[in-house]
Amino acid sequence: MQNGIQQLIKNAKWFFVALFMFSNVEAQPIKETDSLLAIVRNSKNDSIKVSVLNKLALHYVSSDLSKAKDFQEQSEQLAISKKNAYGYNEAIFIKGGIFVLSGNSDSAYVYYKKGYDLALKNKFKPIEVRCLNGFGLIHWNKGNHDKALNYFFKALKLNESLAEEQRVNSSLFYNNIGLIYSEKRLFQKALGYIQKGYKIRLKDKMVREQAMSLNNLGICYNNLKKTDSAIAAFKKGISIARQTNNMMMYYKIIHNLGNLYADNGQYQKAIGLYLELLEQPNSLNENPRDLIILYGCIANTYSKMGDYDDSFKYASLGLKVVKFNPELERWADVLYNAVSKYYFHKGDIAKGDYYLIKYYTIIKNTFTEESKTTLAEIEAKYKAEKREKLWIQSKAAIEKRNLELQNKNAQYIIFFLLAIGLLVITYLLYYQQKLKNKQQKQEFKLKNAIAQVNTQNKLQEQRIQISRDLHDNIGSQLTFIISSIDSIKYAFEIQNSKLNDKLTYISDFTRSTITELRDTIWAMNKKEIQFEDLKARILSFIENAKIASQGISFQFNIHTESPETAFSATEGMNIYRILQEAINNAIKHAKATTILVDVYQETDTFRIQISDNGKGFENDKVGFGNGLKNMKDRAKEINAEISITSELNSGTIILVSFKK
Amino acid sequence: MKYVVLLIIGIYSLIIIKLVVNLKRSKRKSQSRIKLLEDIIREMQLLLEDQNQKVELLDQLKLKLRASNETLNNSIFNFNFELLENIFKKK
Repeated sequence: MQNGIQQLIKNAKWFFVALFMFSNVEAQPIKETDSLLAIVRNSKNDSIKVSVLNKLALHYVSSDLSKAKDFQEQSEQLAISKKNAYGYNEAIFIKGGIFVLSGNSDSAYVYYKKGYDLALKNKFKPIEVRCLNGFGLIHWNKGNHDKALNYFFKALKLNESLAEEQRVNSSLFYNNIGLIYSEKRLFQKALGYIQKGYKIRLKDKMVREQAMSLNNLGICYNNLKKTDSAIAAFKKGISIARQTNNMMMYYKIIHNLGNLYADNGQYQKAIGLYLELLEQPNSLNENPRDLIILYGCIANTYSKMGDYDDSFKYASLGLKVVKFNPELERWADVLYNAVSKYYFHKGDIAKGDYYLIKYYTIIKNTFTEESKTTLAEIEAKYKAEKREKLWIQSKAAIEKRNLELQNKNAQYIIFFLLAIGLLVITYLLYYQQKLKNKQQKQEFKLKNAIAQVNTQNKLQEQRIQISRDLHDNIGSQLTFIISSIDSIKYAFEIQNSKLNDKLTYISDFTRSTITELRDTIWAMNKKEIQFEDLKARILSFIENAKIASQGISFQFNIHTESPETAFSATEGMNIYRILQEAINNAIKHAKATTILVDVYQETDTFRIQISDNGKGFENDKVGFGNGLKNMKDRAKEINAEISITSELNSGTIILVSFKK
Repeated sequence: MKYVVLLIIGIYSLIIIKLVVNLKRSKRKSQSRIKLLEDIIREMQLLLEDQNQKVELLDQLKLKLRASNETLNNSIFNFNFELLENIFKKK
């Protein structure tokens, strides 16, 4: 219980520090206030004058509120008279700040609202940001931490959306957020935000504001039980505040260092510092809340020392201030606690209980689990927004990467197409070459075949030529024999019939041999035998037969249905020989008196029929003699069909069919 | 990038079409040459066949002439024999 009370007392101290936030917002690096005053006096440009007056007001707002008020009023008047909208808006906002630091939250709200509306109307974004921060301060002063935090995050977000040159230094918001967390005893979190703000201030060389950050850091370290770090931070803060003549901050840090000593049992040191604070000039301590807290600290320390009378004395002073400022009662918890202890010590249980209940009521109202949740929600909301921003950035990065990937893919596709194209072309070239080789081989093969056939042709030609020469020679020799025989017969009139017959036989035989020879040579000399040619040959043969065989009637009929037929030498020769054989058989063996030769020229067939009215023969009895066999062989040789039909005493019909 | 891809596809298509056309033309040309050669061979084979037939005819004639020669020799021999016999008888 005692520890809890101490923690609450400590937390109450943070509000003291919170007031600095306003000065943090407005603090500009004004080192030479005199030179600024000189500008105000000498400048003829009213806009500059308004701007400088506002700067001076802001400068003094953290150290001398009355001076700050004075400059603000001058600025406001001048801005109204010169219709300087921005200067006027800024002056109104500063007025709100002065009311905050004076502890008059209602008035502060009126001016912040006015400033905010003007900023919205005129689109003065930096002033809008500052007003949002101001709303946060008002809510903070009223103990509405959730709302305050909400405004600080809003201000931070809006500030981040502004252009660089319009932005308010964001260390302010981090500092304020950190302080609210520290009030909520979330010190580790608070330390994070405050350190963030401190780093920005170091980087931007905001020396005056560094003292404030060090003060806040010291408070966090103290609560996190890092006493040495806390003392070091406070001492550094005191040094900087003194250097920069920031006396308001100086006293605040002194107060906090006193608290630290009190927490660590160094009560005398703490009391010494607290009493020094009570002696500070009134101009620095016009805020009744600060006074309530200071009295609370002194009363609490005396109470710890066992000096209940002194504790009661300072607690009563504090409660007087509360009586005049009832809206600040929530800061009076420590005072109630000290008074209750005093009464318990004196044995007045009823009064002791009364003040103790008051103490607990304040405590209960201040911290609830619910508020923690709300805080977490607000923070989550802020983080979500930040995440959204990051998400948009990462989306853009992803899109960029996708584009690069697409480009890369397109490159791969091009390479792939190139490769495929090259492969196809290579294959086509290879195939073309292969085909060329194949064609060349085929041509070579064919040419070889042609050469071979040609060689054979030439060989056959030579053979034929030699044979022709030979046969010509034989023919002439045979003619010579016939001629010689005829001469012998004519010259010597041979009486011996036997000799005469023999000579005649030799002469006839030689003649028939010559005929055969001539027929063959006739066929060989023709490349192609036309039917007309063959017909003439057949007619010649029939004429000879007529002469040789008196009393036999020959008929030669041609039945034409299609154009003339042409035969090869072999075909012509064989057809002629078959006809010769058939007619010879009819004359010699059948003793025919009429021989008919019919030739049929049809579209796809050539037929020749030799029929006689001779004695005929019986197919099964006669069999096939040499003559008939020869005919059949010859027909076979030229792929012709032969049919021999004969009956005793009814003649014979020989039909040769030849496919064209 | 799209145009580059299209250009590449276009160039490749042209090259490929050109090659395919060349290939077809060469194939056609070669086929016609081969057909011509085959026709020549066919013609020559026909000629050869014709010559073979003629040679066969000559072979047949040769046989016939050989037989005729034999017959004629015998006949002349017989005639001479008869003639000499008659002459010796008269003396």
